Amino acid sequence: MALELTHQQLQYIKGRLSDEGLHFNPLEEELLDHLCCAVEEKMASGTDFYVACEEAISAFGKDGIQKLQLQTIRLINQKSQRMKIISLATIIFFGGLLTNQLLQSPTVAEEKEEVEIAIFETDKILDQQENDPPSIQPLKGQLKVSSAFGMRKHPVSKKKRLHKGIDLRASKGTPVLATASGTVSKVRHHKRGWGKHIYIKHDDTYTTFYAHLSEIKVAEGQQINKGTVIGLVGNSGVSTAPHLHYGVLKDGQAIDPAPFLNP
Amino acid sequence: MFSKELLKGTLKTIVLKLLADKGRMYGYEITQYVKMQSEGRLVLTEGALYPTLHKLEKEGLVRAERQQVGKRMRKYYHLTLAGEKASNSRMAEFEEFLQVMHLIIHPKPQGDGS
Repeated sequence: MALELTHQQLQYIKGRLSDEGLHFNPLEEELLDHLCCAVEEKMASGTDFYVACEEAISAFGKDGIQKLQLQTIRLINQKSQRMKIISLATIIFFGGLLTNQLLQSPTVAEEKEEVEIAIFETDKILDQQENDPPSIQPLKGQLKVSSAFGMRKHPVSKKKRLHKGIDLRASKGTPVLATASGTVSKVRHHKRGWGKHIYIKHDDTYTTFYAHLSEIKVAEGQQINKGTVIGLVGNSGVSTAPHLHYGVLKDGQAIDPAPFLNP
Repeated sequence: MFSKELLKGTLKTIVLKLLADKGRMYGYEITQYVKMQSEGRLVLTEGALYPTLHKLEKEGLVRAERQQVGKRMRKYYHLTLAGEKASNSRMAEFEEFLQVMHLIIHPKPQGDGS
């Protein structure tokens, strides 16, 4: 290799990627490598490091890195159509066989219901098998972010702390939606903390967190689909006004939920 | 440069074909290779390539392995068995498509001559 970036230069590019809004882990190393390759090539033909960096980033287009990130999250969240078609075809085939046989039996209606239940169950299993990272907004409509993820002075304790989620302003009673399918892993009420709150485990990697609710509509252990109303916005716990505190945990660590909120 | 619509339908085919030919490649390498082979007339944007690679990985057509290169990690992609099959069938379909397009663009003279 003709030219290799220094550790500092690497860190600089990493920082620039983060500035551009890259938070989705599976892309981080890869885009860092991509930019480094582009920068090295430009530097080899005499371009200054910082100029090369900006050129390489602007090659992605305006907000290109954020768009790429969103597009990737969207694409990998799409249900595999092939799987669905295969399973549906199987169900229709066997369902059809069954129904045909049942038509001659006196308890057609009952048994047909069973077939339909079986179809429903299979669909549910299919949905559970999809490992869905959060991919929709927890509240419908235009989101009003009242406090972003990151270091801030706590509005009540006034101490500087990491705000491990995003605060979305909404009126009391606004429905809160599960941002991906999964299992309700914890439901708690802490009057001197998060108030009424819910954790949903989506897969081995992602868990989402919804706090300060006025009402909880799910129970621990319950399987839920993406878009299910799990509770209502409120002001419970330590909170100064009705809002939803929405958190995304990746491998147990709080990360910025912003990239998971589709525009 | 070609239109987005035209490229959209061929991007997966291009990636699968390249991986079938080269064994394993990483993102930047793919963009540079396509640029070079097409003499600069086909540019795969990063914004299209990386989401496609991740989608192919999710579908089980490609698998990725990470390798330390100097001070950083590089993600190499290669075809799975299903990916090899998909690459072959997509290429066959695409070649046939090219032939048909050719027939339409350059129609044979009408009449059978007898």
